[in-house]
Amino acid sequence: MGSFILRRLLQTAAILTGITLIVFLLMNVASGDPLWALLDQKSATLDEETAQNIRQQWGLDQPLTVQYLRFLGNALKGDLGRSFISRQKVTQAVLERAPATLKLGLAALFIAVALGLSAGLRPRCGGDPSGIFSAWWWPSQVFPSPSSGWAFF
Amino acid sequence: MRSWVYIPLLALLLIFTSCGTGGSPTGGPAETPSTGEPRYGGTLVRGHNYGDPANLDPIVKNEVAAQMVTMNLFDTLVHVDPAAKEIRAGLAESWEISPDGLTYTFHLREGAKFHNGREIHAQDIAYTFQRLVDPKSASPFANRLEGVVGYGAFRQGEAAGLAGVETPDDYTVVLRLEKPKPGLLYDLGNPATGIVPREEVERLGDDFGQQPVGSGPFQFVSWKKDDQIVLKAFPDYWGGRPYLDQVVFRIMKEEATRDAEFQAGNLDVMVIGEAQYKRYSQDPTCKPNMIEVPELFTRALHLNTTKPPLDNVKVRQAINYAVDKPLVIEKVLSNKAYVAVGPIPSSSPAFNPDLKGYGYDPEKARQLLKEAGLEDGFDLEVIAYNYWASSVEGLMGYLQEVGIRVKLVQMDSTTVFDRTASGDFQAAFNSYGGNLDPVMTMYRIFHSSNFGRAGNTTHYHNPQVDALLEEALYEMDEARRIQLVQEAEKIVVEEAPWFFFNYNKAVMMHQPWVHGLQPVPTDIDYQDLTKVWVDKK
Repeated sequence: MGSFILRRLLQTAAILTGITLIVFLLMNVASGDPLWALLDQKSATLDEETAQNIRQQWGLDQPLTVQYLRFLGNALKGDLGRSFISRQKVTQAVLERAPATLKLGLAALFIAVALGLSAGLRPRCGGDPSGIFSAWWWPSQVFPSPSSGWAFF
Repeated sequence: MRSWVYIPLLALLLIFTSCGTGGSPTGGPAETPSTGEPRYGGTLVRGHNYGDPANLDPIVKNEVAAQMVTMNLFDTLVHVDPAAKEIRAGLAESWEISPDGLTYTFHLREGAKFHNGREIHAQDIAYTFQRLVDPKSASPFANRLEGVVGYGAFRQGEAAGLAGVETPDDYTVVLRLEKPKPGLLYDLGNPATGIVPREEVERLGDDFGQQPVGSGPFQFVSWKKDDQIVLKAFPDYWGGRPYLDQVVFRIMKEEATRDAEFQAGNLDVMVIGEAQYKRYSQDPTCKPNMIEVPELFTRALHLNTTKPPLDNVKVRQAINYAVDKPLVIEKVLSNKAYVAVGPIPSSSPAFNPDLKGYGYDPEKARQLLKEAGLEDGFDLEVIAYNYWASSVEGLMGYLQEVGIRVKLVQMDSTTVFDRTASGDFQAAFNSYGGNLDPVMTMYRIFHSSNFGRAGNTTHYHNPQVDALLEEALYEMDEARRIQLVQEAEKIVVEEAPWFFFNYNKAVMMHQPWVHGLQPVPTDIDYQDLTKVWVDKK
């Protein structure tokens, strides 16, 4: 049992790391210099000296591997860094928005469980075992997998 | 049984009450008769169209989303009145400029206070300017103080502070410049240079932008992300407390939501778009509550002068002759724009009424293309983000008519900016402006030292224009500055690095009980709320 839990925990850690890596790479592949987010769309201009200064201060001038490892190291210590725009702690920004997310998620879960259970546990002639399956199918649409479910929280 | 009858009746009722609860055409009792005398009290609820500003620290964000809020929270040394095109006293009661234009001496008013109750001293101005320029602050607006003695050294880390700011006593600030900078007062009136209290900045650290403390006419109360920002009157404001008790900015990105809330009387003020303009401007009950202004924004097709065939001036002129601008503006933009003649819009102090732009002349356009060896026309790829797609589509038919086959490629705004900054485009549609200082605007977009991200996306290069703009940059005589910039503009129009399309007409709707709103050309959302009052019961 202990080794099973350990195995699952390691798997989860690997999945979480994989997700951060993929999201990190996606954000960097997607074109669009993050500096534009600081400027007005209607007159977005920035001279090179100022642009360079901002990149330097936020470590955006570092190679991608350095940027990623720095993020990962801090994340392990529970520090998700600060938002480039709001300059707020990211953990704080997440917490600020968490109640609304939870409210929506729990409401959806409630509906899904109610629907799923009633649909799945409906007595059937001959006791079709797929009914039990569908009872869990609905909730699983809200929290599709353990790892993303945890990330959600 | 006969309920279907009520549907058209309801619709009619909706149409007639479309201006909110106070605008009944039959003159119902809803509207409080205005005595014309401003009164104190009440709340102003404003629609905020641009999405959550995320940060209200004036040195971090300065776009409309943030500035329409921060301009009420942070006071500046001088006040720029964009409607009257004047510079007035702010925290500085008066100032002197040395004859060589290199030394500015500001005399602060005594008794002006921060929202935490502490009096503002010269040292606060020095601290604010140091903080803005400090490379550690990573502010995109540091260059507002470029040209102050020691700017370069501080930015490069060779000096620990900004040498050119001195405070001989508590109420005097001296700013020394390396070169004359006639546009400096415009920069000192911008919220980016808004004065901040050191103790609050140090106490809150990076969270200062979430709980801003300034010295403006309104102080920060609360902020619910993506929902609303609440400010209240600052009773100790040096100019006297504003009329309004409270201002609420409701963050609503959806036009339909704003519309519904305005018609329900829950929004007092909102800026409207083309589709709404068409509706509201045709409603006689709405017209009196509508404020229109030509904003300092020029919408244009930016033509990359390094990419053939656009490197040929004749081709660029042909594009300018090919379009019937008034008709496109009427049909596509519901007349919510003014025909552009050149880059400097009609509400700029440097607008040239004698400038002859390009009229609609497809014959001439064809002739010019022929002279350029393009009898068979050519393919033109235009990049734009989706907000401008309909504008570009409005031009396509006309350009096709003279043989220019336009392919519109839509992408998100940051991709458009990336590509125009790196020069990787043929033509791009965009809007540019917002700066009351015509010299700075023209310098950024047409001077050859500003290729790419700095503003000159078309890589336009004309030594004569460069020389005129450089001279204007350091010319202290306002009339002469304007003359120089107009001479430069004449050449730019002739050489057409842009297809000059239109100047934005900004339109604001307000409820009948709101008074004192101004047609502000820098952006109609930049309302001076010290003048605004409401007489809603």
